[in-house]
Amino acid sequence: MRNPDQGVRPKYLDLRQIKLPITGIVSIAHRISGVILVISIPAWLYLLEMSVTSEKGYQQVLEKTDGFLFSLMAIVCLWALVHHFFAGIRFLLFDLDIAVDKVSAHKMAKLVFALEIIVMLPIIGWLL
Amino acid sequence: MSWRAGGVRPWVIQRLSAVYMVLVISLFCLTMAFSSFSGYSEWQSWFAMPFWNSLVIIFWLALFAHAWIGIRDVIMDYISVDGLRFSFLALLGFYLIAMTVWMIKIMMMAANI
Repeated sequence: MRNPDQGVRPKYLDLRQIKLPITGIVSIAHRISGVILVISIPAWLYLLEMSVTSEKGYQQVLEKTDGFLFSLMAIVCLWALVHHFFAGIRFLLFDLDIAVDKVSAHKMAKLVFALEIIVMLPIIGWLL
Repeated sequence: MSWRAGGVRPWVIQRLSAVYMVLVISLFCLTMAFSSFSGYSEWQSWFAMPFWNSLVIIFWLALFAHAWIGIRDVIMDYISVDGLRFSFLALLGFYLIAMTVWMIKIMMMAANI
């Protein structure tokens, strides 16, 4: 059966025309950061293994963290961790029926980004 | 309720593992902040302590379970072709099992076992 409205429906998704509210941005970033974190598991384990097995390995980890490329990757992974952490707590609060209405959901989304910036700025400063 | 598609059990595991990880990460950050951190020997002995060692092993296990459910949902949301979906899920499963084995090995070495 054909829908009479079908003619006016967009034929493709124009990403520039989709305006995600801040709550939506927190959500999709939660998903993206989760995928980044899962992909980065071997890197975390690799560094953990080096750092706990020998004094030399521990020093090597410190040296590696000095490089610019490593710092860049570390910033991406740590951003993913920090965002996933705070946005995840936001979802847990939703489960407890906290901040579910539109106004407080928006406030909470802004709070997530604010906390994230507060935590990330010193980390970025320290790494770069 | 099935492990393979949705259900209450994965939902509960996702929340419990999340709460556990939030607690351990907070505890880790507080411990780091309030200890005069001196380097390798302290770092290593910290991971060798039975209390922290088991806490961290459980942390990683919670993380792997959390990752399985989370990425499983992402795969099921975006990949609709059956064969491809199965391949990605299998790949994810093998990946997380390999990570689990590696993690146990690291934590055993850290505990000097």
